[in-house]
Amino acid sequence: MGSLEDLDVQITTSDIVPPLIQMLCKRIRQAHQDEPSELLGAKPTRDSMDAQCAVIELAQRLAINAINSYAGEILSAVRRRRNQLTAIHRLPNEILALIFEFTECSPENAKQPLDLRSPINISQVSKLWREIALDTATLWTAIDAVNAPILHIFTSRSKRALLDIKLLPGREFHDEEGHVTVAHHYQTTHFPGFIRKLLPHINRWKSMQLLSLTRSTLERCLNEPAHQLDTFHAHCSAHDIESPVYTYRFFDDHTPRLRDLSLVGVCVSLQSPMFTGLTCLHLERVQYTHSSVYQLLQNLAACPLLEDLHLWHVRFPLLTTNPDLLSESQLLVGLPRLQGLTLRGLQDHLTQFILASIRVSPFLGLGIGLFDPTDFESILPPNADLVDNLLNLHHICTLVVQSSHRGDGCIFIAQSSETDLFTIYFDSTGAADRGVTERTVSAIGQVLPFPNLTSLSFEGLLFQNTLGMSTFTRVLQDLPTITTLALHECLAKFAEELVVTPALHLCPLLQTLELTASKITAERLVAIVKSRTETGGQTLGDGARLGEIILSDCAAAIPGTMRELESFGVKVTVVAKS
Amino acid sequence: MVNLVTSDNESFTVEKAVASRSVLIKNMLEDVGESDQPIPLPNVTASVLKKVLEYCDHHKNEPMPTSEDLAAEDTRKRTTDIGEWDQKFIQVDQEMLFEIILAANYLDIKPLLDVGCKTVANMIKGKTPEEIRKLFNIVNDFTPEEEAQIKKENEWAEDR
Repeated sequence: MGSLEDLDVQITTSDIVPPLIQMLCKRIRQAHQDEPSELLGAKPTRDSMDAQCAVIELAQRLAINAINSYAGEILSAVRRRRNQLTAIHRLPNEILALIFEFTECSPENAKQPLDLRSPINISQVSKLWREIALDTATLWTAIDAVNAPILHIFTSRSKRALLDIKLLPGREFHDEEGHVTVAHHYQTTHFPGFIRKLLPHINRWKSMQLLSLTRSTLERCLNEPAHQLDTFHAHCSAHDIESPVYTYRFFDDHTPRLRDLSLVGVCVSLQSPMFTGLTCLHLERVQYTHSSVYQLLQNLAACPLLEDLHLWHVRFPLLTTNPDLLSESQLLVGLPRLQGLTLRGLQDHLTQFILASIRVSPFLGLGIGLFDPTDFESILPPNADLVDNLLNLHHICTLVVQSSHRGDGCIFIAQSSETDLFTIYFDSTGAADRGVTERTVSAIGQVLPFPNLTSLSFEGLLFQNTLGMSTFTRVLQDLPTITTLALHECLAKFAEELVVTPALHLCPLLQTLELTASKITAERLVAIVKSRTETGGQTLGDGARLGEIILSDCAAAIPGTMRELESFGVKVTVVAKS
Repeated sequence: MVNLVTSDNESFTVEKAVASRSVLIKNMLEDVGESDQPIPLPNVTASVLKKVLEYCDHHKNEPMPTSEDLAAEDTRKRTTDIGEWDQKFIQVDQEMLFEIILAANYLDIKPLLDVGCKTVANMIKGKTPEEIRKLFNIVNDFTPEEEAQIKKENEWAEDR
């Protein structure tokens, strides 16, 4: 007796297959109205037998296809029921859809190759997952360089949902594998073709972010109204920015829902209605020849809900230098919701004009970087109340003044107890101006009174003659509220000014002193501490005494000195050089 | 204090602030007012409720998400980031993970539902369909015709 398999094959061969093939052969002949000649009593010929073989072969193919198709259906149905018994299929469809949405909108998803990417991968897992994925229109609304080759699938499956279109270079995603970089390069060099496929859906465009494009790419591509567009970012590559100024007109000037506009190296006339009703405006590397800064201010007035304003290296035709004309033309713009203001690389007078023209609510995060730094007076509004309102001077408790990265300027970073309030870069981009640090630091305590400042840090400004001793001393005299002072990279002579003498008592409330990379001698260090502690024999006004000294990379921080310092009741912390 | 009774008839007495992280329970408490009556939770077992209450207890002092927060949570702004404590909390086996998601959905605890869904999303992302099937013990149930259709869709991408 053969195996069960052999038996099954015999049964199949003898009982099932012959009638199936015979029946199929009969139907094929009927379809062709072709009776075999032997049934008609005719003698078989080679032609008739070839025809008979052809019929049998066709029947064989039909039988195999039918069996495969039927078995496929049955298998699919059984497997589907089997999948319903898995743990994940206990989750309702709407929760699976929510999970799919999370997979799709995670930043990592955008840099995956297409086959590993949601929603493509999830739509190929099982019938149920595919049904859910295809029913969830929002999964298919993100169009980018990687999925652009199957854009038609996304535009059809997203149904009526609004589209988010992004052509972002690989660096935006830390694209180690290079998928995005390659795809971005392809789509930006074939931009008209990319956008042509999207134009029929322009009424569904919600956001469009086009980065690292060439200017010629944008021309003549985006001319139709975009009624739903709320975000538009167009950034041209840096190398393309210096080419002759070209003024663009996008979307036929019809973007009634636009709220977030960012243009880098792309000049759109400030007369355009695109600039009204915004909550975020970023202009960078734009040179206006026909639009004035007054027009910009008028546009800001038309954006009362503006939350973020960034102007980087924006040039306007020269403002008048006549103060009377300037004040006459001054436009006051209330921006009560402004939370972030960054002005970098503008001419000083332009920075001042803008700062004097806007009225903001307290706790604005302000960032200013100056193209040709002079001093605080040349950029801040002339009115002290306006300066206080703008810089929140009363709320600042921590101020860090550090050398700029290139060492020919300085940076002021101010914080309240809860948040960063302003960062101002006086960073010369032109000829090195050694006096800029002296001039700007001089403003501390005078142009910029910090009535509640408790912590001051100088970083990298005191190791050469960048800052004069008289300025350093005067600044500390004007800031009597300081309880924490940090001097990083500091010549010994600056630290030695902290020794209390009958003639000089800087920082009378000082509780914590931090010295980093200072060549102060052990003897002078002890003198500072001795003069600032009650047990040091000096009479201390207001009962203030030094409680802690933090030393890092200081030659004086040797065990004997530390013991001596501790003998004055001071906590001594030595931080290892990083 | 609030008394909660699970489907397997176990009773949990918890602070009102903890129980009220569940919008379902919060609404029930508001509807019935002050009462000693236990609240039955027929869709949640004791082992799952214990985990859910651990989450609620940890987050009891945080502000409840407002309808504005939920509306602002447009899909484009969603991330799959999960807080450090939540990540440790949700390190459970798949069975329990799905139970927690179901319980969070039933009890209407949106932040917990999000933590659970994000965890599953993080397991899925960057995987091939076959890897996802293996992860969740799913078998390929497409018919040959459907497979062919999917393959055809992919050919568009391979052209590029």
